[in-house]
Amino acid sequence: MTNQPPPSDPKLPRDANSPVELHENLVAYLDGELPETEVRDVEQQLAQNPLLRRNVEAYQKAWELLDELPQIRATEQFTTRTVASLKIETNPTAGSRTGAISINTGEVRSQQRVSQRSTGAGTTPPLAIAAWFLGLAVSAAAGYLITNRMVPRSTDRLLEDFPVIEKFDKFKDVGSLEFLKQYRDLKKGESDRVPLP
Amino acid sequence: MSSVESSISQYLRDPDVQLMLRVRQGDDAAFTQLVSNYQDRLISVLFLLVRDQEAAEDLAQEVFLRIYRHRERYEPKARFVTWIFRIANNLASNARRNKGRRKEVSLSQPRPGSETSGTYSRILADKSSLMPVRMADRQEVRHLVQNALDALNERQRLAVLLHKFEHMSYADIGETMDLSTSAVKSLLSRAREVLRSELEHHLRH
Repeated sequence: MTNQPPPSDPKLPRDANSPVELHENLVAYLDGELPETEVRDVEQQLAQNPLLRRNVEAYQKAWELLDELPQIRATEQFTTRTVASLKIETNPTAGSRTGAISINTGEVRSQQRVSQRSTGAGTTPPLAIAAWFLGLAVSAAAGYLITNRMVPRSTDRLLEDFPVIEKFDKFKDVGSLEFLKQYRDLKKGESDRVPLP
Repeated sequence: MSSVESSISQYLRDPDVQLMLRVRQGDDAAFTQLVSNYQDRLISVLFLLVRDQEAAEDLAQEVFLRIYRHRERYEPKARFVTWIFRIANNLASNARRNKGRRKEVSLSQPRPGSETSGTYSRILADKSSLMPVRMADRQEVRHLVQNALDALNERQRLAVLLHKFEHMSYADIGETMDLSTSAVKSLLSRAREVLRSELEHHLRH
């Protein structure tokens, strides 16, 4: 027998009549590790010895309590960190070239977002806020220009024709374009004449 | 067929060994799959060994880095799970030794304000659907069980964790920890006795 505990070991079964081998066999029996030939012996002893049965029950209950231990999962940054380390190892100059490890990019991106949030790198700096407002102003100006210059409005035509509209009554009295031309030539002739001293 | 060839062909049936052989051929997607398959399992066991999530993740990351670094020399001489936990065990032992040399706080003791307490709080918060009294009871039980686990020596603790959470046989635990099967049997029987003794008060209620 190897690794037998010393007799003074307080962790030994309290049944002084239980040899260490029997104790080990009981545990191996519970673990399903006992050879078939020895299973019958252990079962026989259990049937005859209530103290052994209580011990076995206590081992079993203590074992089941281990289920209460926390089952930790990898944090979301773990995969990103591991992949980043491998990228540096495989290709220190260009991580994205062939030979570098890659993981589902969407997953990595979401992990990076989480990572940024947790490290505070994701908090919006003043420069980003300024850039955001600048972008908003440029967009607004572009929108104004597009709607103002490119989309015709109903008033545009009126404004364009305003000089005519303004003198519409006079033009109506004149009656024809021919008369206006004659009138213009007449006025021009008068102005070309040298004024008398 | 020699016994060595026979055992290698036996391990070839292990799907994770198949993945590792693809990694050896340069298949990075296979490596990604292995990381995905084992990261939670490794971190969970390492966390219960070192009681610090950050330290557990650092160790797990180092395990994966070592595997990747040595991928070209990989030979399927064991089940993948025993191989990867063997590497993890070696790294955890080295870390403990280094910590001991620097006379720092023991790895098994959580640092004040470290991730451990946060992790417990987070886990408890996840159970927010439970009644407060029941939560307190659970927390108490969890602390009792954690203390019982801490009462084990490091080899007993690892053997218990591999058997309980990785469902490893005595033979696989022996292969992982470099022990004979009978030594594992002895180790686990004493570990069980310590656990029973530590939890005895709770078991009576």
